[in-house]
Amino acid sequence: MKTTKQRIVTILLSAIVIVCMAFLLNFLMESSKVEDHKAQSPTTLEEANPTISEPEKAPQKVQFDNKTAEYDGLTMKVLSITLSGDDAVVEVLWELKDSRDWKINNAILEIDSQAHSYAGFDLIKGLFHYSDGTACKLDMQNTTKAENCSSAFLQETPYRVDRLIFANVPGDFLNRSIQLRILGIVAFPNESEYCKVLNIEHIQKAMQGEFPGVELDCFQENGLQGYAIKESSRYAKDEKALAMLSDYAGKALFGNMAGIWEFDLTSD
Amino acid sequence: MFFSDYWGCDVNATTVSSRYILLPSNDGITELRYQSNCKAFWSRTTLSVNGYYVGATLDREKKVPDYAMSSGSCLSAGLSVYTYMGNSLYSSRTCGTANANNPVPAPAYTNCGIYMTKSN
Repeated sequence: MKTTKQRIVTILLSAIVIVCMAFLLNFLMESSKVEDHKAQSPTTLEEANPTISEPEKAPQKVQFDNKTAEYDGLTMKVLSITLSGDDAVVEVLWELKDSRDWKINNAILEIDSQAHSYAGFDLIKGLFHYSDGTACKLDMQNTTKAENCSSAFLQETPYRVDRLIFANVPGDFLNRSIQLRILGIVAFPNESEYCKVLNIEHIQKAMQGEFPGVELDCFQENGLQGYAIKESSRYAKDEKALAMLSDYAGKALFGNMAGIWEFDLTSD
Repeated sequence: MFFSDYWGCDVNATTVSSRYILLPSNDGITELRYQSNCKAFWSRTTLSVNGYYVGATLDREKKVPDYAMSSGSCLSAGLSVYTYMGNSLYSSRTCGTANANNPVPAPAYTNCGIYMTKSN
């Protein structure tokens, strides 16, 4: 009898131990799952839970192969448009008229009909014909390769590829309506040609009718190039004479070519 | 230190970078100029309206000092200030500024383009 009681107690104790062990094992497994969950990277969590993942970012660069415009025999082609910080950067390949140092000086980028002003440009590469009959290719992105100059390049059309900068554009502008208008190019004389191009004697003659006896001066020295009415002239401080001189000088120095090269860069 | 026309380095020069001086509208431009034979950069700032003092700076990324020039008087449209040449072994950028009332201190690190390099 006593043996039977002992057996019953042993069985009950064993059952209690088994239940406790099972409970403990279950508790430990649940704790392990929590630890695993905590150890997951935020990325994994985001992947696991799509409702808190970030929306897809808009494309930062759009490339084109069919954006070409021609005006007065000069062709321009837009290659791409990019968001860079707060700037829109438009890559333009364009032909050069002659051996002068031509630059795009007037352009407007309209985003949803809002005009953004032109801040300047950076040259990427180009083929240049020079006034001494030489021709060279320049690549400002490649710092290990020498400039490539050859008379054979004289048979090719000179061109530049520039990055035009437009400041303070909206961050999502690539998804909006974008119109680019290039309105003019200009060629300012090289440093030593300043007075030759200005031709101050010609301007002096032209001003004689309104300002008889006016004497003009052109100077290129010590890092300064300019023109002035000579101090000895009685018109030296005459504002009307200075305004006329400035007007003549501007026309002589800035080899302008006005035009309109227009591009619709809105994404399809 | 030499100006670009000293060895004829301005002949066949190319403008490789430019930034408008906003005063508030584009009344002047600062330009980085490069010449292949001389392997040189220099900076030029040109006014397109009357009545400003102008400063031009050739800023070197890893080489000091930079080369700067400033006009001592009020300039008219079409007048230019330009810096000495710097060897193109070092990356360079152009900066320029203008002021209607006072001479511009040089160097003036405003209206800067990007650094350009031609190391050969």
